[in-house]
Amino acid sequence: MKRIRAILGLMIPLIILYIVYTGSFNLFELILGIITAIVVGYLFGDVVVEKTSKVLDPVRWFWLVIYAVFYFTVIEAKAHWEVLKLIFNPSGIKPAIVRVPYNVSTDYALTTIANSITNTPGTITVDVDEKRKYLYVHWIKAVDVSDKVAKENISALFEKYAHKIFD
Amino acid sequence: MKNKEILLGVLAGLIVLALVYLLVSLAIIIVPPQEDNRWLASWFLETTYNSERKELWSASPEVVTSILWDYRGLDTVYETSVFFFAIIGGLMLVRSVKIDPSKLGIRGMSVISKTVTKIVLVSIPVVAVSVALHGHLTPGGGFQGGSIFAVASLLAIVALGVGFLYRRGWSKVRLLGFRTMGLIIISIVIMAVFITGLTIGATGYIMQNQWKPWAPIGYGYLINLGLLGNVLYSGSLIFLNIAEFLAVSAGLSLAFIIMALPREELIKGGDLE
Repeated sequence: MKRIRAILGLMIPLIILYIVYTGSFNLFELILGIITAIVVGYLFGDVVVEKTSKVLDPVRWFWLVIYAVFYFTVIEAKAHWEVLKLIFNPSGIKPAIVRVPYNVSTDYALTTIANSITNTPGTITVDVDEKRKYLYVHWIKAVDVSDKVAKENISALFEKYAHKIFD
Repeated sequence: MKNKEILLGVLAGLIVLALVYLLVSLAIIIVPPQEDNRWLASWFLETTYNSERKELWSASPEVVTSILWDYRGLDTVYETSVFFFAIIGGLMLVRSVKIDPSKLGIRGMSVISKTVTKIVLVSIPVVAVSVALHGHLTPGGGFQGGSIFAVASLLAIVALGVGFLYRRGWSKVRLLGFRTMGLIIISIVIMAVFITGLTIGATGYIMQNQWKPWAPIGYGYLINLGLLGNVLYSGSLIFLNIAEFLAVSAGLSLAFIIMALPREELIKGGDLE
């Protein structure tokens, strides 16, 4: 039963992946894609999908698209600009590993936050403490090492979107 | 402060421009396209999908797959059997190891690596199946698809622990079963034309794909599925690719699982599973 629900949830993304990778679309390929999606969903689906309704929720997909566009343009550009300024003014470098609390419940949201931090230049997620809900982040320009300020500067925005998309 | 930042932006832009100019003007060279191939390459390119010379063709536009599974098909079959025996050899080494799935590595990596691996775990097999199913049309094929699939198993072993695959029922016996099933399908496909020839009294060869003037039995290459249109399946190539995909993905996954068994289990040994 769990596996059937997982297959239903993964069906559309996997079919899209199959067709995009194959590079040609016709009815026959679509049927092959459906069969592939069912088999793969049966093999590994229940590891990936916990709640089918979440995968099929269009509001979450909407926020995912918004976040992806916003992240890869505005946030990335800002972070690059900060690092660029540091490169030309190395005296401003003040590296530290700071503790950043997070407040999301699912693994996917946590992974989104952690990878968003790592992918922006200047900050790297070093470790995660799941029990006490802390991320340990290496920050190239640590203006303040207190939890609150670090979170505001590093992950507050990511967490807002991660919460909307995955929680 | 504001002026300094603008200056900085302009400076950074100029540096990037200078680097791009140097790269484009110095590092990029134009290679004139090669006009002619060697005669062997030309021969294969002109015959594999040349419907005017059906006595030589293999009905597949993909030259590499045609050579692998048609022109030198027996060689590939032997390679597959050698690989099968290598896996059997590996199993012989660990034959006395009793595996207790509940004790196998359950911790794996951090939650971040685990989550990303889980997403990749459903994406890789889809790509693998696509590569395997289109082996007769585009670069790729059964072995390539199977290897891609095995990467998923390898990632699962490393990031989620060996116990993950074991607890999902990927036992030695079952994987070996799939591996053997692939080999049996290959055997049936390569023998079918020969045996049909024997029964109806016409010439047919082992590993034959398309009909020849002196051996008038073959697999055909195009099927009309009505609403779905005409589908080119290139005779035996697609069946061999699917079977090889099954065999290689199960075989390599099994090899990776054996390699990842914890050292204590290997030293301890025990009864046959």
